[in-house]
Amino acid sequence: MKLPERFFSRVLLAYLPLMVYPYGFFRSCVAAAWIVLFFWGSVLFFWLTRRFFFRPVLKHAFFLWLIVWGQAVWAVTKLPPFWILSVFFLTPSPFFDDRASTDPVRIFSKKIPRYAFERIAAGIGFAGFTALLALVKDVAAKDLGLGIFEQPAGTLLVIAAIAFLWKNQPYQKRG
Amino acid sequence: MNIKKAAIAALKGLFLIFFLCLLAGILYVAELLRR
Repeated sequence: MKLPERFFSRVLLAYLPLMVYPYGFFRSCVAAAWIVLFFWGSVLFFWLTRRFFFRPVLKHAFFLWLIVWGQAVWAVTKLPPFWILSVFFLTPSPFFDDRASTDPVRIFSKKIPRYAFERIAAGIGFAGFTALLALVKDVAAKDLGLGIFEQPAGTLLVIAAIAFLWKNQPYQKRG
Repeated sequence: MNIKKAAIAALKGLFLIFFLCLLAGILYVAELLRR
């Protein structure tokens, strides 16, 4: 399975499972914050322990990890486990590649800041995007009464329409 | 060399068991908290 590498497409893909939650602004933000914290925690955990696993087992261990946490959080907080899909979509795709190396990385190598920056940026981008869409939903649907913004799908449709029009602007003569 | 490889494999097997126990523990604690 090929997952997108680009930042925005990953964030958008990770947002899709959240669309099933009928939450307002505050609860959406709490759910997004939990997803991001869990995502960072998982990345850190598997970064530290990846060399302790048999290489073919690592992928399955990760899925088991996601399933168990989804079940546990569902039992404790009644949060339906769709959020686990968001974590899955945020996870860096080389992680699922059996050929990727698990060689030791020096603690002061340049790879670590770049790796960490990409994960942190993905988490913050996801949380920010979710908060933005929840805010648009609250303001546009409740305060302004625009029906299309009541569903997240409507908001995404408007965004897609804007992006389409932006990409297909008529040719303008300069000067 | 073979002994070293075997030792690493044994440690990885132990770690796998530890990991599964960790997951089982998470589920167990979640069940306790729910009640």
